[in-house]
Amino acid sequence: MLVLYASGTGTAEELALYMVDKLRRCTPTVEVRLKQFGQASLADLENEVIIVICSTTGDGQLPENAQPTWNQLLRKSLTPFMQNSQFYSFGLGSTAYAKYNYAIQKIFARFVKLGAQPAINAFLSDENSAESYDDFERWSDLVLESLDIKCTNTAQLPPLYPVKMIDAENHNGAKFAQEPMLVCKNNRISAPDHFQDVRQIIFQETEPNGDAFNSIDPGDCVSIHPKNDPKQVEALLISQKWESLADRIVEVDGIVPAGGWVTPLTLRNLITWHLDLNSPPLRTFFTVAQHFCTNPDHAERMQQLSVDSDDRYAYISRVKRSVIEVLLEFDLDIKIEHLLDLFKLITPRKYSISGLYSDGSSQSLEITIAVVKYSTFLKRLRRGLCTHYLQSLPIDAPVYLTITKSKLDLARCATRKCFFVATGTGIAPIKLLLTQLKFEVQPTLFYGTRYDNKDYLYGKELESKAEVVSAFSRQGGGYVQQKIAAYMQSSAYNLEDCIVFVCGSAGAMPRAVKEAFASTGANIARMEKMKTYIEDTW
Amino acid sequence: MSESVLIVLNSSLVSQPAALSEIQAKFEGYDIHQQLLERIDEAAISLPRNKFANVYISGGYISIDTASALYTSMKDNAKLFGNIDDLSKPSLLISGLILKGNEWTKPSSNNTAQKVQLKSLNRSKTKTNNNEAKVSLFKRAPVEPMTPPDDDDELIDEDSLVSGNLYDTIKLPAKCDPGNGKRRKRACKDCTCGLKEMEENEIETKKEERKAVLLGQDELTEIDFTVPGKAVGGCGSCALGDAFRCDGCPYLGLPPFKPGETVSIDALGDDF
Repeated sequence: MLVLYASGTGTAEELALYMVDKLRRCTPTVEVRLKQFGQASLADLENEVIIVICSTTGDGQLPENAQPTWNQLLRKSLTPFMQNSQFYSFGLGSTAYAKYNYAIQKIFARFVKLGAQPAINAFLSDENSAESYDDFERWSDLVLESLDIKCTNTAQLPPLYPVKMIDAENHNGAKFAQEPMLVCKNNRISAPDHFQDVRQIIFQETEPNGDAFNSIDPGDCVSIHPKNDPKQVEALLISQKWESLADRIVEVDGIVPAGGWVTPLTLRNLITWHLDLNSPPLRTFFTVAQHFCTNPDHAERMQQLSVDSDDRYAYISRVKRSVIEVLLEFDLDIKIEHLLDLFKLITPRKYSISGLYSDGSSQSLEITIAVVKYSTFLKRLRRGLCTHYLQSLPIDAPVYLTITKSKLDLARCATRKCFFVATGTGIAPIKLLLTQLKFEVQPTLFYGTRYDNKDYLYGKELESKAEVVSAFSRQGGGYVQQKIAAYMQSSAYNLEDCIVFVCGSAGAMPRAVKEAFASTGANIARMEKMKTYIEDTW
Repeated sequence: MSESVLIVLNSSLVSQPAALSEIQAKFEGYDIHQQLLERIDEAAISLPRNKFANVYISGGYISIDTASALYTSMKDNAKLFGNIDDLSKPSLLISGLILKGNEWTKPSSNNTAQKVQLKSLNRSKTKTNNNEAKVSLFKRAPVEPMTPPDDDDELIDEDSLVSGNLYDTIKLPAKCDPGNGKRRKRACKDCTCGLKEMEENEIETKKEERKAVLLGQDELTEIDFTVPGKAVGGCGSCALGDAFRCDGCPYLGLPPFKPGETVSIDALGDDF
């Protein structure tokens, strides 16, 4: 059997791991393979029982890392080579997005066209719905039932990706293969009394590498590799009495993260740079960790949590409890060999580039982030891993980042009348557009913030680049969608000849904005097809 | 010699002689063999290998094990057909049979030289258990060779793959309303029914309760986990983490207390 996942943020990967764990337990004699969708060959898809788990990007595409295989599968000349294969499909999406769960539907249709048989119906899971927490559990039970597999085995399995500790020690700091960039500016740009810390952060090349930045287009992103707070790493090391082992070298078998491991890969560096301590525990966490409990009561509690999803929801999801917090509540003696069964790997976080600068010899790029920080009834504050990391970076700190190209082709904006819509930090890619492109027609920016003096990020600066129509919602200024509807009534432009680019948080805003533009009588669906109505929301 | 057929009997048929003879009538002139589905499934009997040219299913659910046993009993190019429910299809497929129209065929072994088989693990085990012997093997016939890769090949428009009629085959999640006036257990992210506010209020209330703990010096001294021998709260679980605390525990949200540690809630701090 082959479990395939296509994951943007790691959720689909986590579910795939969970599925593999279940299958390995229940069918010890059948080989269960786990592959990233984009790394599967067409031959892998022949004569196979395939379980595919896929998320959808904001504009209804398969995740970036799935594209190599997907492009192969879209070839017109393919014969129904999957006719001896059967598949199960699970989609992750959110009805907050217009192209809800498009990716898995495309896969489903394509697989069927290529001859594969859907064993049971595709399942579309809606992250926006309350039930979604149970969806995968229910679906994986259906899969097992359909395969006539009964699962009762709770014994400890050998680690999927064994971690081996070797004798050598190394006290050097961690490095990735690529060159880091250095922080040269890290400023709060929201007012000190604003509820949210919004920061402008600029990274500079360590050594001039010529034209690396020349290829950056508006819409491009950087993926930043964050690391854990050293205090949390220390807490884990102490709780497991690993202080004396922390600088020993470890080897990991069977998996390499996208950007490679840091070197030297010591236990401390592995935990600091690769194990996601701040996300909620993996689904398989309790199944695996119960075997490490040194206290039978704790083991029993773990076992309950591993099977009762309501229990887990109340204990974990509702209060956003992190895996490190859970871990410190139990008396555990973790086997280092199993470390990767307990934790998710840290995935780089993507941010839109908001500015590019050059001082002749070296170049730098800017991002604009809102620090994620909130509370539930837990005593500790909830913090976004990456924004917390970025917030605390001093000047000259090295940061590992890579540039991700956008597919939106926003350079087209230069030759047409454009309407840009931004709320909050959604201004980031639009700022890059406005500062980098030479527009033939002055663009119009609808910009929604709360106040004119607290979070009106770059607003004053951009007023010289575009016609800015602002909406200060907490000052009685209304919302962007209201401004759009009013403005468009007297606009001389035929919207379908223009480009609309909407940027901000997903959910109500993009929907309301779309309605406002649609009220002009323009056919937004057609514009979307022509890629002249573009949303970049998260 | 007449062609052989194995009639796999659903147990309900045994009590319906009329239906049974109707089936038998279909195979007049055949070399008829009959077996009860249950007995095959329980591996109570073993079927001869490579024997039958036809297998007739009279109904009932076919497990992976049964399908595998039937596969073994069939000759090359033998056919399996009859009253097969949808639930049984995955098992038949896994066994290696190939569906053509309404009939399942066992691929001939000449063609299966390169069959994908034995994707089972070669784990060395100290003792073999009974299940080991009847592993479901993933044996399949080869398909037409794949079109050789051609980089100039045109791609289909992937947006054309998402069309309305797909929804017939795809299961959509339940709507927000659970129906029958039932209350949902959890609020949706974009909840409009008020449940989200209720949940948030609960969290606020717990925050308030926690503040009360932080402020009330009396309470702190009253529940002093540092005094040796003193029980840790009435239930004995207060000092443990949230995973063990009761629903209304005033310490919910706080990290666990370690025995012997001086209880200073502020020292537990925001960080580690």
